[in-house]
Amino acid sequence: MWKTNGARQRVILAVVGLFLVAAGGALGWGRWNAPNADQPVLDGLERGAWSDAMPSIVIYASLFLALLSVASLIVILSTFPRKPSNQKFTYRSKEQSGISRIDTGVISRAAQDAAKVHPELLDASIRIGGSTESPVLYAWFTLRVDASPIESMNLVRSRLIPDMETALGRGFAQKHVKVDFGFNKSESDSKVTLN
Amino acid sequence: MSRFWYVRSARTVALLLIALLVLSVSIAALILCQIRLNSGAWPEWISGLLGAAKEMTWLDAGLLGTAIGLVIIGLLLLGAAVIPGKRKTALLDWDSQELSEEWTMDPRGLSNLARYEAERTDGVHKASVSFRAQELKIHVSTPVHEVAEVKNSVQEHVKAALAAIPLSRGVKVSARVLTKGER
Repeated sequence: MWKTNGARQRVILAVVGLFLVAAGGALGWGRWNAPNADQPVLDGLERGAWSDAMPSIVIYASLFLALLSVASLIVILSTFPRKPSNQKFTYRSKEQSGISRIDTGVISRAAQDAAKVHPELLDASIRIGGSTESPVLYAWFTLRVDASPIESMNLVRSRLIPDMETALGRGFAQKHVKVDFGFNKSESDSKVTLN
Repeated sequence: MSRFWYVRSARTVALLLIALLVLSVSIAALILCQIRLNSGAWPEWISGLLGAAKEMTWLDAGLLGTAIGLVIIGLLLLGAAVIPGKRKTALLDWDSQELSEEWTMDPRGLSNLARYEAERTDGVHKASVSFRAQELKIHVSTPVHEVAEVKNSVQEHVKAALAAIPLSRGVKVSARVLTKGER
């Protein structure tokens, strides 16, 4: 699973939490401090005027509820983890007036396919972001659990990533790499026992 | 360099539940408002609720219960927002802020590696691993009655495998061995 925006989620939770605490606190304050506490809470509102204004109140309430629904939907969609988006890098020739454009998604897919060729790697998920001058690598490599861990990790660090930098024509300004170990699907339950 | 993998857990489940609740309540309320605008009256079942709300006094137990409930839920959400969660990955020695390189290891991967090494050990029938607070706990079942030797072998194998990985913080390994059929 890739990343969700943890800070944003915590801020939203904190705002909702503060709102609920404030609402509960207001109700509690009203219970102990309201004059004529045995009278209805909505006492003072003339029933007739309340009924006359109801259509306008309902319209405003509908608009507010529609906005609230859209905001909730946006929050729900924002909780889904996302991968960093691919970028289009533009390369300008120093000698001539040519321009080349590369979609980093193409390089990412090529790098993923190249990584999976190696028997030490089970899977690779790569994204290249940033800019042409400062490319950023986001990568998640799953190594075979029955391969040598340090050799597999050195393969990633000393060969796969430098190969990507060669393809891009410059080194990564930032590298964010996660390493995982996994079982080869055909071998995970094929252990032979004498029992 | 801001971290991408070495971050604390986001409160996704809590936020998702709250957002789904708000969405369902607001859509239901929106439908009721549309019925009120179209027909000029609230539906019968909601009229009773609105009537009860109009008659509610400050001394009603329901109002106090609602206030307490709102405060408790609000404090729980505030706590979830403020209390830092555990890190989702472990840092490797190769990690360097100066070089802008973030190298991390998935704890699930460490558990898989430990389980593989444990199940490769002589005498081990099956192994399961849990990883929490920098400690790997390995539960092993064996048909052998001499469990002490199996336990020591499992711990040695797993520690040797983990020693080969350049983790920035050491991981404690403990094994518990049960003879097959025991619980």
